[in-house]
Amino acid sequence: MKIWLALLFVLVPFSSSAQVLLTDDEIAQVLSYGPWPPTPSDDPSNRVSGNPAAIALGEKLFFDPILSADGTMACASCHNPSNGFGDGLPRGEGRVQLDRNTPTLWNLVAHRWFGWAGDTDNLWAQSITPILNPAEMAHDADGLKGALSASEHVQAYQSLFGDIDAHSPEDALINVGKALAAFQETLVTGKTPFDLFVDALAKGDVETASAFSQSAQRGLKVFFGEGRCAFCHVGPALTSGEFNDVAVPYFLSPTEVDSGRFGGLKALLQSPYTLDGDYSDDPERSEAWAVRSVRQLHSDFGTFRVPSLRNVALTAPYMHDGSLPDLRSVVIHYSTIDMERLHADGESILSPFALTTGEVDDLVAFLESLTELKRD
Amino acid sequence: MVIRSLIASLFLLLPNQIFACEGTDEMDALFSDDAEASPAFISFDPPPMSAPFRLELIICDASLGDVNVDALMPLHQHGMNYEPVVSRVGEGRFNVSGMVFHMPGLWKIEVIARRQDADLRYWLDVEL
Repeated sequence: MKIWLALLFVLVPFSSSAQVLLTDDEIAQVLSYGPWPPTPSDDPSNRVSGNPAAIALGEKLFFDPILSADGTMACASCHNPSNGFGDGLPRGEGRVQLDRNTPTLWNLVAHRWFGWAGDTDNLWAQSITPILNPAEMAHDADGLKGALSASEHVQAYQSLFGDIDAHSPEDALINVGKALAAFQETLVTGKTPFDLFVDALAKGDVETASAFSQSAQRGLKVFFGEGRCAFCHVGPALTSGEFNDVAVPYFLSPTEVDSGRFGGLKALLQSPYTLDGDYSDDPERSEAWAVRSVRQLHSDFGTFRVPSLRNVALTAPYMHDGSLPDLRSVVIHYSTIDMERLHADGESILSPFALTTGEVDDLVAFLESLTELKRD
Repeated sequence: MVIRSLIASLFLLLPNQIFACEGTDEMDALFSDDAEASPAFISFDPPPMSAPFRLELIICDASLGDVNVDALMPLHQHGMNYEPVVSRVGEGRFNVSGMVFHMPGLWKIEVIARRQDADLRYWLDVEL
């Protein structure tokens, strides 16, 4: 009998009891990543923000190739809902191959700047950027107004904005941008396993919090600690919304560079479509402080916007040039970062941290826990 | 008349910092490496992450010109991405808007107050 009991003791594995692995300081830090989702609020610069009719029109326009000059390309051609609102390619394919990866459209409400280089400070201006880009939808304001006037959308447009014939082509263009923006503002992801963990910790519910994957918790500790991810991926949207150099080369060819934020700021400050401009519907210009006070720094060269990590597992490939095919390669990129490639003047945030294979798995598990739970 | 002239002369002999100046209980004293620097105080609500916040500044010196306020992360060797706006709201009193700390960690707020003879430099460490 004793022999059988001894064998049982040795052979039957102990079940590792789930627990919260974070220190008190880490718990305090993780609480800053909630709550999610954010409370909806309308964009004061867009008079049709939150308007159900504008959202419906924006959604129809999003899928309609009349927004391109030759009628072949819609917003959804590159921002495919089935592909994380991206295209799954390293670099976008417009009329030519574009310089950068197609970013997702999820959670844009959480952003201050748009596009990899922050060329725009609001969603309606960002929405018309690809429409006018000769390398993408290649339209112009006159052509767009004409196409819209002849389309099935004209009645919905006029219900919202008034007689299209009384609008200048530029007014019609901006109104299309605002309808598109109203739709994209609704693309907010839901709760994730990580959010359930944060919510449980906020309530002091250790039992529920302990159900969060132990591997993801270990990964979270790396995220906060030696990975230094939490310097840039902060807050409920898991992004500071600002721009950084992460040692991804910015050469497009041996003779061309992508200047990133440096060029983006030049475009922004020349644009008539900013929150400080005449097309903003906000008389207070309440959010224009950013475009008015943003600094143009030499160190902006070759920096790119910190993306949100929500649903990151669904938006491969990664980085501004789509050069990293999966999350594992992203983690290894940071873990073995080449300090010689960091070019921001003297900035000292990242350094290699040489994760073990198990630690890489854990950090990937944490990133995967940022995928929204399936909705009913 | 003679007595009034004598009293007026006494005022001329007093140092520049003749106005009553002290921080409130909610204010922190700013540090300075200059032993001769006038007292200075600062107050602000806990800064939000990567969002604009304001601060109130008092510098106990009546001869100030322009005042500049900035901040940097000493361990990361970078500053803020936005230019704060300093508004004078009274003698030695300033409101500063548009401060943005876009990263967690140690920030150093720096204040430079211009005077005719020499600049006054102050600082305060803030952990976000």
